[in-house]
Amino acid sequence: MWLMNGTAIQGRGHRSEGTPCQDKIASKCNGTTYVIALADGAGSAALSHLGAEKCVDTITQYFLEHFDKCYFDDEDSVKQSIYEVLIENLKQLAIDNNCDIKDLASTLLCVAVSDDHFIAVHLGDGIIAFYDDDSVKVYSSPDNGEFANVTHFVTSSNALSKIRIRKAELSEITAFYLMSDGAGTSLYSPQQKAASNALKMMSDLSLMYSKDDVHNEITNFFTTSIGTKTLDDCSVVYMVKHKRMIDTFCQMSYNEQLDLLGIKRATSHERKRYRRFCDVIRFCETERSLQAISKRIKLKPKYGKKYVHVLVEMGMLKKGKGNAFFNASSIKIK
Amino acid sequence: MIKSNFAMAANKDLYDNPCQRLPVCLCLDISGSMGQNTGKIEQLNKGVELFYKSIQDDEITTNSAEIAVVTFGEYPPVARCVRDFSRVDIQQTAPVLKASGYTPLGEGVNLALDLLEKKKESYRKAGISYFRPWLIIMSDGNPEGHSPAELTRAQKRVAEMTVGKKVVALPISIGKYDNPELAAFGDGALLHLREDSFSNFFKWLHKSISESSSATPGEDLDFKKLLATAKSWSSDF
Repeated sequence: MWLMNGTAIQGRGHRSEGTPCQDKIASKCNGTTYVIALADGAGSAALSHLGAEKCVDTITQYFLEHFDKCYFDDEDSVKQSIYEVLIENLKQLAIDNNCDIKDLASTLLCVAVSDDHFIAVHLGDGIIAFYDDDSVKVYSSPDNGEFANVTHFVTSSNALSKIRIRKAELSEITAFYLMSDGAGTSLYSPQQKAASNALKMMSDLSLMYSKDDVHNEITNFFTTSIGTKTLDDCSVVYMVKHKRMIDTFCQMSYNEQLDLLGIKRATSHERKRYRRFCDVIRFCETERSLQAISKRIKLKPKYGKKYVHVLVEMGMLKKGKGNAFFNASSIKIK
Repeated sequence: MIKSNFAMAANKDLYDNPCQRLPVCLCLDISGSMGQNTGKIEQLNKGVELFYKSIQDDEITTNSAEIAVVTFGEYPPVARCVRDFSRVDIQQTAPVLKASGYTPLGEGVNLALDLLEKKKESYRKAGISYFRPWLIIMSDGNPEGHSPAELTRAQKRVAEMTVGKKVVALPISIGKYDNPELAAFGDGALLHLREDSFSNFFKWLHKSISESSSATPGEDLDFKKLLATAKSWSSDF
């Protein structure tokens, strides 16, 4: 299972001009296939925000329906079929809005995952990165040509030849990230061809918190940090392989565990609370009653219940038979 | 509600990339005819000073525009790099130019193009992205005391770069003079600067490069639109 999330914020330049955010993101899944897409509307194209939205909707839907065919077909025919479906939809959008198709110009980035395989599609600037249990790495860099404000769009005459497409097995990859060039100002180093570890921190949030909370957190981060470094719109969309909450907790550092449990670090009382939580998790490797858990951490059941309640709420303990609880981790807590 | 120090930790891992650069070269005629009690060299100095100041007052352009000043003139005729490409807040003050001698136009433009190539190479090596460079060539008369081969070479280089959209070349004739050699740098489009409008020209130039230096992908320069806004300082020949 993959968790998907992202944000797109209007750049300072567009805010002062009253221009809408031209970065658009989308994510879709059907239970077996997961797709994320990002499009950055061209600054010079009057309705590029509509074109970008159409592109991300079209390509995510296309991969949901045609992943297997795309994975096994040769690259040229996949490029051709993707290009045709995008142009067909953009032409209809141009008719609906009584505009030229060039007014809908945008770049396009997309990653689709199904079982142990993935397909990545990239046209124009922006960055595709991934995490492979070791570090965040750049998978596909911006295609800008010589100058900063020149790139290729879905509506460009040479678009078909500029589509980059790669298909491979997932192997150790556990997360994919798509970002616009605006976000790349802070999250990508063109000199080192490297991507920031902040992306990993972002996707880790999805393993611990609800989708809405994570969306709010990264939107706030983009508004107060990433977006202040550029005039351009900034966007990111990612998918991360979901592990059980308890497994994630066990792999965290001490400080991260404290943060997650909402424990302040300074006092001995707080440290005692932390030890109790860990003790409960360890103790519940096999199913235990509330009375036994409370006895273990030397508290009356009415106080022990509070610890159990927090861990159940966070998804780290499961309720077993009767009044019993257990953790389903495959990893031993340190 | 997320109880984590995500934002604080993530902020530490962000890249502080240098902003995108816009190289602008002013290639200026300082021949004797710019002096000789015409007041043109004084107006040019005031204009360049105003240009520097207006960029300094504009945070975005200050951080992206890198200005070079090349002069051609003197006796014996010579082209000089008075200021190599750098930000105006680093240069701090505008150069003060003196008029004398001949008009080696081709030598001046070739030097400007050489500096530009060197600058682009340094951007590439440092991984800094940049916008299409601007080359402003200003002269008040026909070339004089120059090598014809250098002039032809300069015109050919600029023509190739203009066709390939590698440079925005603006030849500006100071006053109402017919100047076919200068016009050859601008794909036939020669703009005439009214002799009382140096300030307006440099204000216009600042506004134009300010728009160029904040362009996002797909926002390429609309040359016709640009020229249509030049009425505040240009006159028809």
